[in-house]
Amino acid sequence: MMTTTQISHLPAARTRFWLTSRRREALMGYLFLSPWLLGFLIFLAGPMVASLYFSLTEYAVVQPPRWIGLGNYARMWGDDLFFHALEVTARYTVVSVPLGIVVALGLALLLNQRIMALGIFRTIFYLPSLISGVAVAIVFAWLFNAQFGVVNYFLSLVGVAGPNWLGSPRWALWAFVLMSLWGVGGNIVIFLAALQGVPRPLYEAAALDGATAWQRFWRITLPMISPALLFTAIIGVISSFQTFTQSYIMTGGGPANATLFYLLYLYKNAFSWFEMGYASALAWVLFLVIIICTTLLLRTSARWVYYEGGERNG
Amino acid sequence: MIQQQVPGMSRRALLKWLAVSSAGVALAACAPGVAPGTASSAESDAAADVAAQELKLLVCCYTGPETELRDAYNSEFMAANPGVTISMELLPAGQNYFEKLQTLIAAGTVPDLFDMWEGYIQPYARNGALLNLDPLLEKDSEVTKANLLPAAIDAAAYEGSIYALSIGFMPGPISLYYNVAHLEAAGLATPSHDWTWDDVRAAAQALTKDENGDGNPEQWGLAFDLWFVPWLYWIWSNGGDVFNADQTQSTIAEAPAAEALQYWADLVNVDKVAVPPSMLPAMQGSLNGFITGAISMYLGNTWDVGTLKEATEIEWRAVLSPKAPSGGRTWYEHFWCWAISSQSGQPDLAWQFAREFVLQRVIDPATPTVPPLQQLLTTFDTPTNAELGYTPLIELATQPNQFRIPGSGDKWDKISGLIQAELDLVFIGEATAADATAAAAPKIDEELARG
Repeated sequence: MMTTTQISHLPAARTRFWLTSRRREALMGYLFLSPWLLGFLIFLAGPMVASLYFSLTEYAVVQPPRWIGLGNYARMWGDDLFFHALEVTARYTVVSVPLGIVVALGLALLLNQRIMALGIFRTIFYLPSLISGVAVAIVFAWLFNAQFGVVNYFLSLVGVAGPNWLGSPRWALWAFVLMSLWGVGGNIVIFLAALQGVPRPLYEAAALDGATAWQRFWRITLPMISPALLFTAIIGVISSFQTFTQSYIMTGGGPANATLFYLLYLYKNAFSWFEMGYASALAWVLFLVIIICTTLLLRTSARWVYYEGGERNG
Repeated sequence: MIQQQVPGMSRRALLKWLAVSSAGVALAACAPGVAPGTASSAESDAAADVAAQELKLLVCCYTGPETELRDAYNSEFMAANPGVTISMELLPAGQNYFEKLQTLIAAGTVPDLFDMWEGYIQPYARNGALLNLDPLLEKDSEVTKANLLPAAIDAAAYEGSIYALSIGFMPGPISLYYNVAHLEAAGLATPSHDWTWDDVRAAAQALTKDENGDGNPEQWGLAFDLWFVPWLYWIWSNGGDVFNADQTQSTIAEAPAAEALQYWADLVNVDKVAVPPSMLPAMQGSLNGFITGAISMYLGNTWDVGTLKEATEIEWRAVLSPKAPSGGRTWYEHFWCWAISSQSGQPDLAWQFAREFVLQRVIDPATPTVPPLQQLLTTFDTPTNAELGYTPLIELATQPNQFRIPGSGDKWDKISGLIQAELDLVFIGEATAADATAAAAPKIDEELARG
């Protein structure tokens, strides 16, 4: 609908808003961003600041926090369970992350072939990574059942007496390592994309020069997908340091604290032992540990990660 | 003057209003609810009237039969108190009840009345989360401090005041459940409440059958869950304890405690008549193993009765759990109780609900408990409870220190975990009880010493 209006001859400064068009555009941008910004402030930044504050207090949740400065951090150095939980988590990370990468890469290489129904196979391998962690934990508790579990059944077929996986301090953590392979689907998808980005002429040229399959894999494939390897390694380390659901559901940290992961220990402090302040300090220490591990990976990546189209990184 | 055609709504203006609207919706969604006292006086009066008539409950660890009984009681209460609405939230058994309760308290949205357990009463009372019930007990004609049994007071008191009203005790592990057919087939005498640990050991040896000799008996003589309830019962019954009198030091490494633990570990590792606790998950727990007939005797609790009554696979009976060789028998006191939130807007209504719930023994048909009040002890003398072997409890309940809680307040959860981690090794045969308790004691002392 058109309307008519009269244009005044008053000076422009008395009729225009103080906002320039540039400022108006910026303001509109922020207005559109505001839902996300609010979510970030309320659900991430705010709790992080609160957690940092609580880490400097004695806080039982049902009573107000009491300032104790760095007392919680000092306490960690004498806390055997803290070091034990860190050790369990570190051992799990050191084994499960490389193993997961190797298995995912192997499966990705197999799925990178030109075969019939390839899409179906790719879907089958990816689907398990979509299933809820709690459901997976419950299923695996049954799979590792010492008497009726499928894992021990298959071992018995080859003449091996399966251990009491979740009831033995010696084997419980290995059960979790094996279980971690359930989620390789995400890494498979990443590696598939990376493999498909390797230029075919490189393989053809290498084949012409007489390179074997292993040499083509080691000299061409691995360097070309090394950025994906770095990414999966970093994500894997971050994720494995935050393992919680499996031990909470399946073992509760036992037997004999053999599966007392760091995050489970943090959870117990926060919600079972009225130690939210100490748990907050544990959370910040975990943050630092993950930062250090990630930094180490990035720093060492210059030696083995190849970025196509330029000098090696660093 | 020049007249000019101007569009009514430009694209830029439309986008601007859309942006403003979305931001407004996001802010509205994040806005807190109306806080009490901020509404207009007429609205707040009306709101208060409605709020005063709604009683919110939080209940943990329900079973099917208990839920039906609770629902029936809630309906009766609402019928007897027109205008009162009861909304009950049920949480399944597990470890998340107190996490949820803590969160609700911190958020200021705690229900009026909620389940509270032994060991948690003191820390919650110390932190001001629970209503002091002394004034209500003083006004009441039936539920008074004088009428409460010693155990009902000990477990619910903080600095001399009562902070929770016991629904009943569930001593644990209270019963030795046994498979009638197995005992008859073995030619064994029926167990009695005078049995000792040695009697149980002898019966378990006779009942265990490993016919194919593979080390995995087809029929186990005995099973028990390995958590703090049974091992406290073993330690206390044998004259030992976890703490000294003022709970400043651990005594678990002393002989009576270590010997008690070693006795029961030997049933697993030496006599091989008790199911290794690490193997129980394969049976879905010792109760399930007992119901399926794989286990002849099971050291269990009162709350197993509801499940056992529904089991048709076996014929079972129960007697009180056995005495230590010295004759001692002290149980862990599961103390099921109601606590009123210190933030509740209707404490009198909550008290009325709780006291009538206790006086009417609402959930007893499903889960028998020792009544907390002197005048209710006779109600415990029923044919069903006699059949379950509970009759001696009527006398025992009036004696102090027959049912105990371990102490150490809110530190018990962590301390029990420290002990459990060491005992796990004992019951898989990788450590002796003496070594395990010696390893646990300094860790317990450190935890007690920490303020």
